[in-house]
This record gives sequence, C-alpha cells and structure tokens, in this order.
Amino acid sequence: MDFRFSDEEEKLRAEVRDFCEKEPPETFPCEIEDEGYGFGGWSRAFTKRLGEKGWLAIAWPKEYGGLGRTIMERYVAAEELAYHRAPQYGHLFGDAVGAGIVTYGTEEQKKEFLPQMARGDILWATGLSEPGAGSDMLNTATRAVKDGDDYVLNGQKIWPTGAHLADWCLILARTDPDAPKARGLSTFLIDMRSPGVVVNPIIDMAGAESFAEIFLEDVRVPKRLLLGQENRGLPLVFGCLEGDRFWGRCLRHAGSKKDLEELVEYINQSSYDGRRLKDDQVLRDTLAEIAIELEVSRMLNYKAAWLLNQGASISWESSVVKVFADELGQRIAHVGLQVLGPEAQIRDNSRWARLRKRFTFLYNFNRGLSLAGGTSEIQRNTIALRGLGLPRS
Amino acid sequence: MDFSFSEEQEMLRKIARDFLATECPKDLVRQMARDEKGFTDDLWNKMAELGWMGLPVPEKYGGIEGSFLDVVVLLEEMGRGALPGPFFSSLLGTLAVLHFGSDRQKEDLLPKIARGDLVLTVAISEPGVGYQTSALQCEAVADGSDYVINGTKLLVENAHVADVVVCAVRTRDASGGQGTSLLLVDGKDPSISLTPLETIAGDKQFHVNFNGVRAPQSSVLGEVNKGHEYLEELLALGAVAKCAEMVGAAQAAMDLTTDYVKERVQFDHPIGSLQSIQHHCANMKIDLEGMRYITYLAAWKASEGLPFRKEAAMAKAWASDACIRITNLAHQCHGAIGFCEDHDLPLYSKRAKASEWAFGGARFHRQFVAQEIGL
Repeated sequence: MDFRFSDEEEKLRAEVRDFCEKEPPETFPCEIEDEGYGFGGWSRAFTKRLGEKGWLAIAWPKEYGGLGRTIMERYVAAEELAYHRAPQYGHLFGDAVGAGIVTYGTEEQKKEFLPQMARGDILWATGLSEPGAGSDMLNTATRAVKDGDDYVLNGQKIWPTGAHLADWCLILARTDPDAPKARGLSTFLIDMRSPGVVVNPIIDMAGAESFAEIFLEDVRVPKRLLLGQENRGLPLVFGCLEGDRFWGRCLRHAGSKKDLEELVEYINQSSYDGRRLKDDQVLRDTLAEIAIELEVSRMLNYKAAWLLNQGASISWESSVVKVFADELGQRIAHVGLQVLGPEAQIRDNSRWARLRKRFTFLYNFNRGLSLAGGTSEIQRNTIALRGLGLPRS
Repeated sequence: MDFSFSEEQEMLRKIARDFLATECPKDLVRQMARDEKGFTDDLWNKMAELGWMGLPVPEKYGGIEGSFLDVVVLLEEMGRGALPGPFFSSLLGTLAVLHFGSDRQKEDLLPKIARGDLVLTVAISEPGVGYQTSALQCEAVADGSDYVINGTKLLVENAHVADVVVCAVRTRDASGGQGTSLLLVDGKDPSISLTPLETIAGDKQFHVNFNGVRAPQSSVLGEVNKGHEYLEELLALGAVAKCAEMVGAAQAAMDLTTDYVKERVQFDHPIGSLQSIQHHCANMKIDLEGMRYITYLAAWKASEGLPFRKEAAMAKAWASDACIRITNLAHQCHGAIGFCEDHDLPLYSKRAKASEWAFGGARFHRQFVAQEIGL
C-alpha cells in the first residue's frame, strides 16, 4: 500500500502546475463555462494549447500522436489542471471516443483520427441518448441502413454535450432491426458537417447551452467510419461509458477544492444577524463534512485510476465514483447557498458577486449531474449487479 | 500509487480470518457478551501463540515488529469476526508504551505483552468529559517519590482484566509545574475500585475510581506534563485502529446482507432482484468503499510516520457515520429476522454504536477538521 505518486507522476504534475502559472487557464476564452463537474469549462483554444503540449493524449501510443505514458500520469495531469479550474470539458469527453478508437478502431481510423485528436484539432461529442432511449439504451431507434458503400442514418439524438461545438460525433444506431435489441446496434463516427445533420443547442434550467439535440436526415456515412464490428456496438459503447463515467467525474475533489476554500474565506470574513459566521457551529460542522467527503471522493477516484492504470475493469467502481461525485457536487452547491444566505440570490457588484453567481449557477446546474451519463439510479443498479452480484430483476 | 496489501499482509489476513472463523464462532461471541469476563483464556492464549499481541512490538522485545498497517489488517479481521475481549484495549496501551515509553519501561513491559502475559488498557474519558483532553479532571499530585491519583474514569474497557492501566491525569509537581501526563498504573492496586457498566454492545466497560492510588514517578510515560501531545497522538492512533475494526464490521454486515437478499424469496423472486433492495445494497457498498479507503489513507500515513492527525479525524468522522448507515440498511434488508437476539447482524449494529463514540464521534472530529480547513 502506498498513496504516494511516483517521481515521474510528480514531475509531470510540476510541469502542469508550472504551465498553469505561466499561462493562467482563466485567460483562455470558453465556449461553455465551468459547470462544476470538476473539469472546468469548454475551451477550444485551451484544448488546442494542451494539444501543443502533448497533454491530450498522454497515455495513447506514440505512433498515433500520444506520449505513450501511463493512465496514472494522464490522471495526474488532469487532476492538476482541475485544481487550477482549467477548461478540460472540450476534450475530456472526446477521450472516451479516443479510447474506443484505440481499442476497436481500424488502422486507418487510428491514423486518421488519433493524431488530430492528440493535437486538439478536432473535438468530439457522443450521441447515445434519444427521446425514447435514455436509461434504456437498448431502445435506440436511430436507423442506419446499408446503401452501397455507405450507411444512411435517420433519427434523433438528444443530450450530447457540446454537439453544437463539436467537429465529430460518435453515434449509436440500429443496423439490424430484426435481431434481438442488444445485437442490432452499431457505432459510427460522424462528421458534423455532413449534409442532413442539424444540431440545436438546448438551453438548460441554469441558462447554459452545453447540451444539444441532433437530427439526422438521410445522412450518408461511408462504411470506413463504422467503429468496431457491425451489430456489435453495444459492448463498445458500454466500454466507452465505463471510461466516460470515470473521466467525467474523477476530478470532483480537485475541481471543488477552490469552492471549499472560497466558502471558508467567506465564512471567516462575514456576519449575518449580527453574528460572525465562523462562530456558527452548524456551519463549521457542515463545511468540515464537505471537506471530508472531498477526501473520500479523492480516494475513490484514486482507487479507480489505479485499477485503470493496470488495465483492470472498473465496471462498478466507475459507478461508485460517479454517484459519489455527483451527489457530493449537489451537496456542495446546497451548502454554498446555505453559507451565502438569502443574499446569494442577488446579482450585485460586491466583492462576493462572483461567488454568489457561481453557487446560484451550481444550484441549478447540479441537478443534471446525477442524470447525465447515466442516472444515479442506473449507477446503483450497476453497483448492485456487478459489484455485489445481486440477481437481475 | 498502490492500493493493494503486500503478500505478507494478505497472508496475515487469511490466517486471521480462518482462525477467527474456527475459534471464535458467533455463538461464542454472543455468550461472551453475557459473560462477566467477556473472553476465554483459551482464545486469548491461542491468539498469543499466533504472536498477535506482539505484532507491533519490536523483535528485540520478542515481538513481530509489524507495521501499523499490519496491525490494521489484523484489526479489520477482528472487526469482521466480532472478536470479543481485551485485544483492542490492550493494543492501545501497548502503542502508548511503544511510542512514549522509556527504554526501561519497554524492556519491562513489551516482552510480557508480546507473550500475551500482560493485559493493558487505557483510561481517558471521565464523567462529562469525552476526549477533550484539556477538560480532564482526574488528578495526580506529587508526594515524595510518588504521585497520588484521585479521580474517576468512565468507559474504561476491560479494566477488570487489565494488569496495567495507562491513565491520563492532570499532574501537579511539588515545584508547581503542572500539565497532563500519562501514568502506568497497576491495574490490581487495591485503591482502584471498578464498577462494571451495562453497555449496548455487551463489551466490558467500567467506571473506575482512583482513591489515592500511589504510582512511583518512574511510572510516568514519556515526560511529565507533556501528556497532552502524547494523548493527541494516542487518540489519533486509536481512532484509526477503531476505523479499521469498523471497516471489518461493516464488511461483515454487507456480506451478511448480500447473502441474505440473494436467498430470501418473496413474490417468487429473491428480494435482491428488487431495485429498492439493490439500491440499499449499493448505498452500503458506496459507504463501505468510502470508509475503507479514507481509513487506509490515515493508516498508511501513520504507518509511514507521516503527519496523520487530520486524516485520522476525517476517517473517524466518516467511518463513524458510514458504519451506522451501513448497519441500518443491513437491518432494513434483513427484515424481521435480523431483529432477533441470536442473529449475527445485531452484533455488528450494536458495536457500530460503541465504535462511533470510541475515540470521539463524528461531530467531535469534524470540529477538528473545521479548524484544519481554516475555519
């Protein structure tokens, strides 16, 4: 047992820290603001800059533009960036697609996509959910029909993050409507500029435009863009989701560290009803609990990262990571507003205006954390079935 | 980064698990909860043969010289097996001697401890005082070459079988110096009176009166009046050790529950196939994973000699609450059968309460964490 990072990992961390000090991440323009997942906002410019540093593909093979280093090194870099609230949103999700291409892609696909992704030249969205296929992905209705050297896609996808900003999208579609539901699905790599692709951003209840819906109307996709084998799309997608659950949530402790620090600063300097907030024993207890939960989250994240680093499956561990991180994120938003009090609603120009704005936003946005990427209930099913071996209903 | 235990530690775990399954069946555990002494010499002696009392003791004193993490592995299994008896309380006394004792004290005590011939306990809490060590009232006043101890200690574990009591006292010297000190007191001293307490878990805790007990100055552990620091460290070690035991207990409650819900059939299906039950179990698993790794973090830091008080407080705060949540859900999933006195589950849910308070409950530790994060 050893909870230290290796010398190589610490060296990379120091490089990342140094980079963040020299090129402060907040100076890069963001297309989507930080939504409190822990991985910051969506910034094409920042992603591109990380690509120049080689940090988008730390663990990919060198021949495809990666650095050929370990997953743990990749994790350490992402964690350090998260401490600086750097915008990693734009590429972190594409990474699940990248992992899918590394594992299932043809040589041609690897050569075509991975080096571009490693440079940050192309950003990805993932189109899985549909209006009639949320938690029940088997119900996917989008059709892909073979026609000569192409597949022709028709259907609708909803909730892909950043699809309106992305260049490419992984799409799950039904290739065999007569096969059992689980055995007729395939995955395609779709150029978002293809004729017949229409994307509309969705304005969510926090006022953000991070999700989108995609309409596919007679979209022609050349056969070479089928990822993996035809009708074998489901295991591929589950594999991608396992990583997606982890990478999308594994930075909670790092991303929220500053939230906690800022709330502590606010408490130490503020009064309400003629009493100093720092003398409020309930608030002290609550903040301590959040600090402890962030530490618990950190350890759960490290455990999963350690497993991934050995090439082990994190089929249920990634669900533990996600449920804990999401529900903790919601508690942090709730506690933040408790601390800030009724004045948190006011958009004023005081020195605390930014803090108020952030927590009001998080309060609204964080409702989506336990829904996106698989609801907390679905994650709990996974933990029960895969982690504990309970029987299927 | 390495979340795994060493081969030796895994072997220790296996030996402990097998041993406790054979030598410490749950009927014995229940019997011991009703028994006045609370353990059998037979079980104690067999544990001594395995060298467990000497696990943290250096080889030169006849011990195995294991690390604190090794001890944590063993405690986890003892929590899992719901081991009754004074192993834990004696271990705390042993750690006090190991960490703060003089060479002479170590030479005197450790070999006997390692053989299992000497049982220790620690006496800290008092009526109305938990682990806020600055509030302790029990007093030891210098008188010639002795200290004279007067006061009351509460919730002292296994005082009835303790040969040596590590007692936290406020010391006053003839020269006017004062502070907190740890004294090694003869547990059989006639000026000590014991009253057994009836407790939730049927563990053996005592109300202990020190009525002018005389202890020579050589019985001071470490330096006199420096006990506050020692006590903080000892309490942190105790908290982490208790967390390890709780991880084992929570794992046992989890295992009992998953086994039961796979077997128990209602509505023609095992109840474990129902999502309401599955989500209870998933919540138990999430809490268990959380308490396991926050405990290992604190234990690893303590084992490596790194500062670990903050991690210890975090672990104890989290584990205290999580273990209660886990056993609560275990009961809900078991339904009425788990409500029976002769079922194994109450062994764990009752102990969860005792463990929650031992070495400070969740709120106590969160007060410390609040300071640590700058409040």
